[in-house]
Amino acid sequence: MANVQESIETIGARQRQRCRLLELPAELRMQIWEYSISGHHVAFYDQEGRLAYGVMDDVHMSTPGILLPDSLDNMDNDAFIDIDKHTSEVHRSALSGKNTCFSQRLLPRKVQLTALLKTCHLMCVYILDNPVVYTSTQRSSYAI
Amino acid sequence: MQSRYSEAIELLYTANVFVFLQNTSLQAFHAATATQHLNGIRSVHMHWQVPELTQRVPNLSAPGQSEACRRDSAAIIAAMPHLRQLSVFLQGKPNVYKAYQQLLEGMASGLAHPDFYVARVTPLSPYTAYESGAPEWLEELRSKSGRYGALRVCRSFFKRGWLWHKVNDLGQAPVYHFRVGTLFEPHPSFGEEGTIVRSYVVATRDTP
Repeated sequence: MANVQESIETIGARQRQRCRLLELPAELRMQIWEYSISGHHVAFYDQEGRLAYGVMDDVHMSTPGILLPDSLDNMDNDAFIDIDKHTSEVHRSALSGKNTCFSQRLLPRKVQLTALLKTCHLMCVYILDNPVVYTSTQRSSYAI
Repeated sequence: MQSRYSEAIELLYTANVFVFLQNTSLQAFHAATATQHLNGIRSVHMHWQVPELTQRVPNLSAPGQSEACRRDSAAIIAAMPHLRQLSVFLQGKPNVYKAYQQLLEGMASGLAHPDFYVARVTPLSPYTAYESGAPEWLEELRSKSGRYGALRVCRSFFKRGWLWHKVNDLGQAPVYHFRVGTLFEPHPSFGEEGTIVRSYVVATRDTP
């Protein structure tokens, strides 16, 4: 543990001279965090026995249907017809064994929400040394 | 350095919506995540499915269908001290309504200061015979007064997602499991029921 602490301090001293991110004012850093790691729908699911996660948005998964900026009372059920068609196609593909592309398309794409944190080596070392997060990374396939 | 890491990691848990697509996902997440992080979560969407809908003999012994799984998941939700938004989508035949009832009641038991808690349930199908009590329970849930404590139970308007025979887990190898639902969030213009922010069809595999 002492060695780890020592290495953190050594790296820290070195990185304080190089990592501009750490030199930014706190307000600016918070804005960067907010843009990069907040406001997502983070979906968790089992993938071959391991817990995986992905972001559900238009970029990271193929989400059928449309967003309906309306109240429930005013919704037209027929607006969901595309979802039904899409789902049926998926189901047929699965039954016929042609399931490679749809499974990739429908799964939320894996992203590393902590990637930005890890761009800084010192922060990465800290994450790995933090018992809380370390426990998480050991038990599952994700590390948040 | 610790404070800089903390300011970011805190945001990760407090400023995202955590979506659990499978019945066992929340338990796995809970086991792998530190309590301090769990306590920071503000918003959760749960997708709960009874997958044996098309099977003649329901397999209620599957991990995700056990009473322990329902109780554990409900307890985890109920124990989140800062949870302010909970959206639950129940996909599946409401014939097994007691399982859903147990889940919802367990979740609602610990909700302290909710801002937005809704659950969507599947409607009755005219082609299915239901267990005694199920129609009444669903009607109660769909009514304006359908509540479990602080949990507001709303109608589901995801009509096509109700057709469970089309989206049901296939029970074949490789096993794909479809999660078809809608994700709701609060909106100042739409009252307690909120509004749809995302529809999803997600194929996962192997473990229901």
